[in-house]
Amino acid sequence: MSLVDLVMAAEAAQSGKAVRRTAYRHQHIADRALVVVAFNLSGEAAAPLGLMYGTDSDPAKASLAVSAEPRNRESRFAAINQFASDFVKFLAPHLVLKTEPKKGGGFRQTASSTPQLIVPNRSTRSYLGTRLGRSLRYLGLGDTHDVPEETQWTGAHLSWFAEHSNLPGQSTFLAMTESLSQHFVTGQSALEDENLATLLAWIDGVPGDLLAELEDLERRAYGPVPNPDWERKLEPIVKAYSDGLRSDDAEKTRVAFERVEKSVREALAEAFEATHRAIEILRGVDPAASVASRWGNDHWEWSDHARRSAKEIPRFAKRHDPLRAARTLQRWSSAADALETDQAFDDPLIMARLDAEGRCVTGTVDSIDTDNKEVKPGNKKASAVPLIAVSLTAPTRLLAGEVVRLTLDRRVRCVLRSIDDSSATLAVTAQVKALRESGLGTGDEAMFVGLDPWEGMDPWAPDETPWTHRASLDETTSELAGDVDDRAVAAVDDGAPDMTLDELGEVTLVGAVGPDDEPGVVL
Amino acid sequence: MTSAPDFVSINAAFTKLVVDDIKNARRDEAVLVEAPPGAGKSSLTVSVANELTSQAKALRLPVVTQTNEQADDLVLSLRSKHPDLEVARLHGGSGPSAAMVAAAGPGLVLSSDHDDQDVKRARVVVTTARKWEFVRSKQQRDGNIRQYELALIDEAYQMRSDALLGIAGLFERLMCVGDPGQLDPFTTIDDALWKGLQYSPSRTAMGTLRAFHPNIPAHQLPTSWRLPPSAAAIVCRAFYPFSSFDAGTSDGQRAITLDGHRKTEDDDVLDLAASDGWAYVELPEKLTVRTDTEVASRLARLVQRLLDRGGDVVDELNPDGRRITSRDIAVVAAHNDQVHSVRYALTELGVDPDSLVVSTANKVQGREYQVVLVWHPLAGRRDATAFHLEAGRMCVMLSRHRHACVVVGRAGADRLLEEYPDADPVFLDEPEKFPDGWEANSLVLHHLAKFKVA
Repeated sequence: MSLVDLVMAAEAAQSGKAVRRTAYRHQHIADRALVVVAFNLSGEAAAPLGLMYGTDSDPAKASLAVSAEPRNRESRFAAINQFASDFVKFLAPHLVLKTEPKKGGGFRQTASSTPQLIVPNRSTRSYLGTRLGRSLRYLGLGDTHDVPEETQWTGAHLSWFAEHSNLPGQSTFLAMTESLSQHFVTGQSALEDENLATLLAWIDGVPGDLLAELEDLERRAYGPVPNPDWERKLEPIVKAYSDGLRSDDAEKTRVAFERVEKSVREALAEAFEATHRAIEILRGVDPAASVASRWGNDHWEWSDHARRSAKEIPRFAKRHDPLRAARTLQRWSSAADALETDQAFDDPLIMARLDAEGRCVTGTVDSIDTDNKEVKPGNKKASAVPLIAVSLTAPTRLLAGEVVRLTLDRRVRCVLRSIDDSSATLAVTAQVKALRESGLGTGDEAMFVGLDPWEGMDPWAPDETPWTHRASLDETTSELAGDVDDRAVAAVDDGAPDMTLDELGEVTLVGAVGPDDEPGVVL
Repeated sequence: MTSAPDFVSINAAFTKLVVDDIKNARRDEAVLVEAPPGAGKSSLTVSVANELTSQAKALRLPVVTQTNEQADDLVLSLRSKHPDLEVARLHGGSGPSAAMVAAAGPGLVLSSDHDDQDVKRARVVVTTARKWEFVRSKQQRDGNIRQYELALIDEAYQMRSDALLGIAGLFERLMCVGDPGQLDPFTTIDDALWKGLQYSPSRTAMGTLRAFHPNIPAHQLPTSWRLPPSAAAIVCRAFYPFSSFDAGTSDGQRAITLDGHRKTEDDDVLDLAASDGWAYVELPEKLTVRTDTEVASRLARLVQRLLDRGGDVVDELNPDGRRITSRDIAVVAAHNDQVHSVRYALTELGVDPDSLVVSTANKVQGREYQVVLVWHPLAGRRDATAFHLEAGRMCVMLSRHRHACVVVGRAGADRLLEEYPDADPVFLDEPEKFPDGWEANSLVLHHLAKFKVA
């Protein structure tokens, strides 16, 4: 944690009110985002007790899918299928492809718009995307449980959202605790900030003493894990529902279902409203300049998914192959670098944080020698290298030789030639023209920041896995002697569990069998 | 008594061993040399490069380094030991470094273009993995990958798996040299998605290579020429539990004699370090911000006192002794802001921070100094995170010195370790990291306790 964050946290703790961390909002908030809040049955990987979702902030208008007994497959999939069917309807208009002219000739197909999913907290994001999405995306393949096509589509879409949510700076799949803590500092710990109820209390304030209120607010559960006390009270009703099913008592089942539904609706409505409140708070903050271009990138990546979806249900490998893994890491790393730079140049509070960390050269311009010419290394002819002399007004930890950018115009790239306690000399090595255009002159206050993102083209990713990243051919054959069919070869790479498909078929599926059978795994 | 002949013969023996292995290696195979700190890794790389190119007249040998500085160092070292060897240094778009421009002359080609005629004439082509990736990318775009028979990878343990993936297609065989005990490459991106995969892009390149090719021959250099006997044993035990190495010098072969007499408590520290090779300054227990000014100013005072007193170092390279200069001293910390606060404290005392090296562990990898002062990463901390416990970081800090190492920390670090047992999540199929940072740090603290100056 930087010192600025410490000071802000102390200020927030003292005043009992969250402090703005940034001057601008660094994420896109769509007009019609789909908000999803969910409870999962404790102890199960992906067994939703209830999902409340909708684009309108009024929970009365939101849809609710409830499973009164998520351990029963029929009941579980009744809820999942209902959500899936609505989810596919929500995404349908965003998946429509439109044709637009490319720069430099030709046409390309892009999605007509980009969807946005918003959930209350990070754990709901990973629950919905990674856990539920993954549990659905292989259904319909091979001897799996038969589900409607919408459910298979939902598995694919959620998987796309889950993976894309790792991209630094993305706005398609937002968790409100994460977004709010990027924009506000509270007086509580980062772990406590993961509770949306208390986070909102810090931002919105509460009547009465905040610290006393927080005790109570911390008990509110906005999913995916429900409040244990609440779950304990629910347990007998769930049991009554199961008893009803087993004894074919339709009336008992109906009554129990309605009671579960009512209880889940009440509990989820609170989380739903809180999530919309968080959106409203973020909407009240002006967007930063580069948000649009990052949202444009989200659109670009979504279009890729939309084009795949235009053909068939997109399929996802169990694990990335070596090429995809390396490409993905490199793409995310460069996105993280670009995001750091963009946010700093967009937002004076973030730039100030870098300055406080000593990552800027700040001072008054004493002189600008525009006549200086130097032969750059590797060149034969001399070119203009203006020298800027600065009297420092703030301490810095940058050292001679480091590359900095002018905060007035980030194109102006300088090398720190010399620096001591009170003065620094900077040599402008790129974009001398931009320096002239910036109008920087003697006597001006100037700031240079030690950020130098790679702006060139990245190398092409390799198109085949090199020998270093796969077993050599004779080792592969000896390991699989006599069993070299396509499936086995594929299994070498994908990190599949150590079970054959036949073995997997013998595993008991919860919900698919009678109530007295031994529990097994949920696929 | 001098150890120089030993060095020469060990280097020659390993060069032969490695060159033979390379000749026996088939396509898609590799040879690995692991080296503890200061074991003559660079000398071996240089002599293997020379041997290979002189044995096969048609061979053009690519050398892959991880940073531009390493590439420059390697070129300079090739040039000084084998001036007849034609070397090309490929550089990026912003031109060659000042060091390369200064070294330019017959026998050294500086170019940014791999297909430059001058580069094609060179016997050894040195550049970074990143630049080789661009070379591969260009050939791939042109649909014409021209494989080299063999490449040398320097500092291979600092290479990330995705960097190796980006260039391996260019080379039929690899010889990789590196120090497994140093800092692993890292990413700030959450890599949970790839945990457990042998080819996970955030793993070390050597981890991936050895997972897929478990039978590649691996040699271990047996001697640290840098570390004095006082340091070799503890560094080996804490950071290289599965290999063994010795100091290349014997007790008494190296000595520091400081001028002047005891005036302040700092002299007790310096005298102990000079006589025993270690000194541990333990400041009173206190929770502090990362830039603890007391630690910073104590380090600065020790540097100032050392420079004020002056002294002589005697070792196998200077049997008659020579004066200690500020260039022989380094201060190493875990964080950039700590480096800055030491520099600030030095300036306050009137010592020019640029006259010595004050830097982070990451930046002094591969460097050596006579005397190193270390800011203990756990000093004043409330918790012990994986970053602060990383064995590689501690190993780099404690293995840069030829004579003496002074560590400044705060009391309570041992309790901190006890209160923070390793609690990192465990992922299926993810290899256990060795050496274990927690254990290495405990061993180091235990060792330092013997050299405590109150």
